[in-house]
Amino acid sequence: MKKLFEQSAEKVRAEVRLLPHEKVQMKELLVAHMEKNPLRGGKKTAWYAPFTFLFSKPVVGLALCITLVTGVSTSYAAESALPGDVLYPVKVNVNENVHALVLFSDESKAQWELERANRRIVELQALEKRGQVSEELHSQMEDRYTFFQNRAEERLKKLQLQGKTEAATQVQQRLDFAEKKHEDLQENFVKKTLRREERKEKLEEKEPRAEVHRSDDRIEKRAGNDKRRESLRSEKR
Amino acid sequence: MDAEKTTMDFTHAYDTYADSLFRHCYFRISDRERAKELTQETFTKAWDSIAKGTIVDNMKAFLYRIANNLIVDEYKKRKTVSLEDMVEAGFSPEADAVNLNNILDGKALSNCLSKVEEPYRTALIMRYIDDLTPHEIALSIGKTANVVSVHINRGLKKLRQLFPTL
Repeated sequence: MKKLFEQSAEKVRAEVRLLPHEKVQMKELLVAHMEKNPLRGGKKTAWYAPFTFLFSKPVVGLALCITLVTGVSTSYAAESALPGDVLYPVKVNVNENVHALVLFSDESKAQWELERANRRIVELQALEKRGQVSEELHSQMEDRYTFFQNRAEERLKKLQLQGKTEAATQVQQRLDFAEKKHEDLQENFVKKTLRREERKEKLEEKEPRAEVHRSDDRIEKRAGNDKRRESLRSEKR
Repeated sequence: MDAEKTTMDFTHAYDTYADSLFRHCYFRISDRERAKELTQETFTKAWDSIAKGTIVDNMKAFLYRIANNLIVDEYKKRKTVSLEDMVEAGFSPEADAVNLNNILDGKALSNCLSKVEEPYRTALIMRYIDDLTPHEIALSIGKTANVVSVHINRGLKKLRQLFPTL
């Protein structure tokens, strides 16, 4: 049947067509229309036309890849940043907040608040080793530590209310440990500042005399040098 | 230079596809005069689009797509009219044929096709009357070549059911 149908179709193709004069007439009309509506010299160019390549798939893909790689490497690098570093705000405001968003249970949230408080202690210790802790910075870090400590305590209360005693005791233990660490650090800092002040006082007492001595020595040295020069000149003569 | 080439290409496309487009319109709407007008309109619209800057990869498929859209609009304007009703009203495909020797075959085919429902009818017309490949039909009607092949096969099956003696 298919063959018969195809044969019939072939015959129809030969039969049904435009008559020659019809075809010519239609072509004349079309050519007239084409002359009336000529090709425009290119599309109207939009102001962003030179930048359209920016929206092409490969460029967008590449940009996304670069953004992803830069973002990941920045946040990775920021993990070891200390207060005063350029990347420190990224560490505290981005990395740590993003991490907090991923956590869902109260227990893990409490642990993370504690971890954040601990991190502030570790940062403070590192800065002290470098000897870069001013009193202002110390107080700032103290504020940050207490902020996260308070949040951890709030979470702990929640855990206790929910009856999750095991988790609550774990958090409590870590909290106690962190507090102890913090107290030690504070004691050390107080001791150091006291020592520094004592040294300053001592130096202030000693400094004026030392200056006098130094100036006397210089005068004597200069006089000795002059004498030597004069004796050398006389010998030459 | 480019404009001249585009104009030349388009007039060449008219010479090549005018008959087949007319045939397509004729078999779809069963009205010779209207089929002529629709063919003319198809080329006019195609030119307007090219003049605005549309880049055409496949001219044949592009023209058939425009013709199909115009035919759909025509269907919407008109009430559904079957070929039988048209014949009753005085329409006879053979009257438009140039070669009168094959009139009966042409008439039988038109009658057979009018019994097949859409979209299988369009698929059969495009495949066997317009002699388009499934890929070209797919480009014209905005479907995949696989879907078009399925339509063609189902159309043939329908024809076989309706006219077992054919």
